[in-house]
Amino acid sequence: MTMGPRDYQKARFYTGLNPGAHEVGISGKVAGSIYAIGEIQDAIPIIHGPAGCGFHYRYNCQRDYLPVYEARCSNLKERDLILGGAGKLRAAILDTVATAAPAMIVIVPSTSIDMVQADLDAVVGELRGKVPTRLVAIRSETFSHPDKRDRKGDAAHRVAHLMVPDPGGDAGLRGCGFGEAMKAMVDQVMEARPAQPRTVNLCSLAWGATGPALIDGMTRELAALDIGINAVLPHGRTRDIVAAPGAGLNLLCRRVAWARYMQGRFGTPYFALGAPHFWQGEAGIERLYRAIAGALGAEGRGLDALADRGAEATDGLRPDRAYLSGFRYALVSSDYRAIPFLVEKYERVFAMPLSHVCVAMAPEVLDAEGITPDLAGILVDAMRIALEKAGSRARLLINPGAATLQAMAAEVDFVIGGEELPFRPAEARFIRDARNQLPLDFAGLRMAVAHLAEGISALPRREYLITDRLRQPITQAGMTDPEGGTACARRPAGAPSRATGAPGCPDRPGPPSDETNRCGSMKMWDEMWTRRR
Amino acid sequence: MASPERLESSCGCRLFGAYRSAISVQDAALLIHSTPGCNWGTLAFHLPSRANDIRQASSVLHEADIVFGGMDALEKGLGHALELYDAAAIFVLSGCVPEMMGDDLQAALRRCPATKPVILVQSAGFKGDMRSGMLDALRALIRVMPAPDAVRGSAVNIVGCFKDDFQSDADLHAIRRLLGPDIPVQAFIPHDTFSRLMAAPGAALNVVLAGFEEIGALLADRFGTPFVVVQHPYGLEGSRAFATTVAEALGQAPGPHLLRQEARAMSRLKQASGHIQKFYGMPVAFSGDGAREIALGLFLQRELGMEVEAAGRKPEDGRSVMLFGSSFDRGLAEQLGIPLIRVSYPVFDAIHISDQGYAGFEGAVNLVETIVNALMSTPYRRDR
Repeated sequence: MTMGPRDYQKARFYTGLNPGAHEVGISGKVAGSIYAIGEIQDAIPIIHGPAGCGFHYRYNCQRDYLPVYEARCSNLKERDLILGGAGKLRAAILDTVATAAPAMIVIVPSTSIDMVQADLDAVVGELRGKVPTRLVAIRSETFSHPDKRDRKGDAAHRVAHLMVPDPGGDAGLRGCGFGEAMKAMVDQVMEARPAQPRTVNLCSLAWGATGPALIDGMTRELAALDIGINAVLPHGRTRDIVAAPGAGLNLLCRRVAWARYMQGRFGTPYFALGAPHFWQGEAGIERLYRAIAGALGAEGRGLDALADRGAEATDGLRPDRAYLSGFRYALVSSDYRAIPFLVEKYERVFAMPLSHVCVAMAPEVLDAEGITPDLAGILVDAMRIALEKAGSRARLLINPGAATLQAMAAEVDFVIGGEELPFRPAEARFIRDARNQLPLDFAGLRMAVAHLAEGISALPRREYLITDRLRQPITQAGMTDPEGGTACARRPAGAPSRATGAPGCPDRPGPPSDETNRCGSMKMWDEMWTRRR
Repeated sequence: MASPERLESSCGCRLFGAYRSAISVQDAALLIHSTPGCNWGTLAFHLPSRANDIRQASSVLHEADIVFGGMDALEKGLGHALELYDAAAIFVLSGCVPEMMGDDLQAALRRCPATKPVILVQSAGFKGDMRSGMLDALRALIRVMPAPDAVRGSAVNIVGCFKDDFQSDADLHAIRRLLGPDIPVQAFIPHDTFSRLMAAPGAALNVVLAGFEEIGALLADRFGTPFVVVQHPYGLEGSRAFATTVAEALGQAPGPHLLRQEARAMSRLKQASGHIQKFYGMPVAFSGDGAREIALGLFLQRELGMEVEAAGRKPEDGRSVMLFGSSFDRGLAEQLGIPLIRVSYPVFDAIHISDQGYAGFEGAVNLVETIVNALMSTPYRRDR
């Protein structure tokens, strides 16, 4: 299936509708495991734990549009936990086999079962071969969730490899539920077989909201190089997982620990893209497929045509780029790591000249996210280098105040930013840069640029946008008070919100007491998760 | 027939029940003493219709806490919660992990110099179901209620209203309208402010929604407040019965507002009389078995003439053409190709922020409208 512009927009607007809560918590590793197993079309996860775990983990923030309805639970009570829960697990497996007959059942241990160190393998081993279903048990690497120090290490690693992806992948997140589930697939499901030349497995995690469209485009681009897809992991059927070692290469964004593990076990090498934004534009796309071909040892066939297709795409993009280049733009973002890529994206890929690049880097937030002053310096340097490389004339403003932002907005035609900005650029039109990655194929790239060119003149000014009014307190007359507003103690004015991609606080709707308590929950999370020693 | 285990695990645990009671206290903050997943799950079901109402945190129990005990995390978490939240009270809900470790939670709380009420609800998921958690938290709340100085005229408490019930705000408005101007509501228990809840013992009567009789009895025992048990006010008959029962328990005659509201609802329903006729004999199923669902089922059966399939029967085994349930039932509804009407907790694939609920006379009109529209918009025979 070839995904068109509407599919791309569906992916952007039909997913992630519910408010996120990552600012105030994480979901724990069970959620990652359930996501992985939920993607396997003929598998059912059994959450081995008390009923509440089985109840809520069916809802998964990775795919809020499609809960893992079919997930089961062993429903452990106090007595079961004392005795290890084997009987309940056995019953749940047999019930699932009898009523749903999946190709595979995967046991996901809850924290309670980790605490009693129950032997899941014993139950699975006992039933394996006696039921017509493949049985798999996930082994917990850590208790409950990844360690906070690992998270900090991950942040530092990402900054260290800001401009060029680490070919070895990220530092890894021990206790990542997705990784644990995939390691169980490697250990207990995949079967050794000769690797087919010119084939890859694509791992579907971490591509962002428009992931399916990206993967669809990649599939076509790889086909043009005569490289086939062995499996999209874990989105496929059990038999696809079994046959995964038949690929010559695993392609993935991040969370590479399982791929490293698979390489150790089956010899399948992996190629970590890092993030789609490393490979933007015609040059990025060409570079990506050359790198993949190199990693696969598949140089030759099709590679010559790659440059031609890139040139063809450039020709096709010329009218839209010419149109987009006729306006003035300012970029406002709190996603300080992404600024170099946003500069490249807008200046070079879309040909939209930036006059200002405004970024929020509040010390409190940097500290909470493990960004040391040295790393912050590297980040700012990277922003400057990106501006220089793009030939940009933009002024780089770090933590600008509201008055500066307002004055800046008056000088441009469009402000590019997150859903909500810390000021109201009433006179400038607004371009929402949210969640969408640029496609990694030439046809998709042309589609994305054409889409923006087509719609840009119809974008509304922010003058009447309700979303701006919702950030102000509500007066007794039911009107919002533009002079009002509350400050979150953790985030002074101009400080960023990671969730919205825009600097400033408050950046969420709600009257003052709501804001105080939301900020309270954010601080609680910092104190109990990041800073607790 | 689904196994009891499977039915139970689709209904949550004691912690979710305790959470639903505690988060209903509108100006309370919650510290969930457990691993982060419990905080995440409860918040995920709270946020869709309450994006601006975040007032909970986790003590984030970690591997080291399992070795050394979770008391340190609890004390730190509570200290921060007392300092950071603009809250009238703090609920501490303990999950499975600290209770498996056998932490002395009461002792930890005693060591924290609390400047506001701290209410502990031990709510390990393995110790009970959602209902038991709801009741436990309500009991804990009642324990901190002071004896009243005086009884307030004809004021009533409505017992059994929960903030994360779908359309709960609209239902509260509908209940106020049903009771009319002569019967003020002192508190919706527990869906109210902490100060109004603390003044709840001063009500003349507790109106206990079916399923919460134990709480009515506890309030009667502790404060001497009489109580009546009523079904949720769904449908015309259900709404009239609700209002009449309350008025009579207070020694009043039902107010004239009831006739006006009912007449208005009837005039609206006449606009869909042809559609309503078609409901007769229509088989429908409920996935939940809570008191709200039972009251709704009565309306569908008695007043709309629908055939409500027996509780406990799996919808997939029946012939229902419509399913009433939670967001988790959407998968089944899609599999069966029938519409889902969201009435049960949790609802996360729809939001409700308007005043249109299903309770009261007007609610009956809203529900009929929803049913007709759901039937008409169901993808049926789209392939010619």
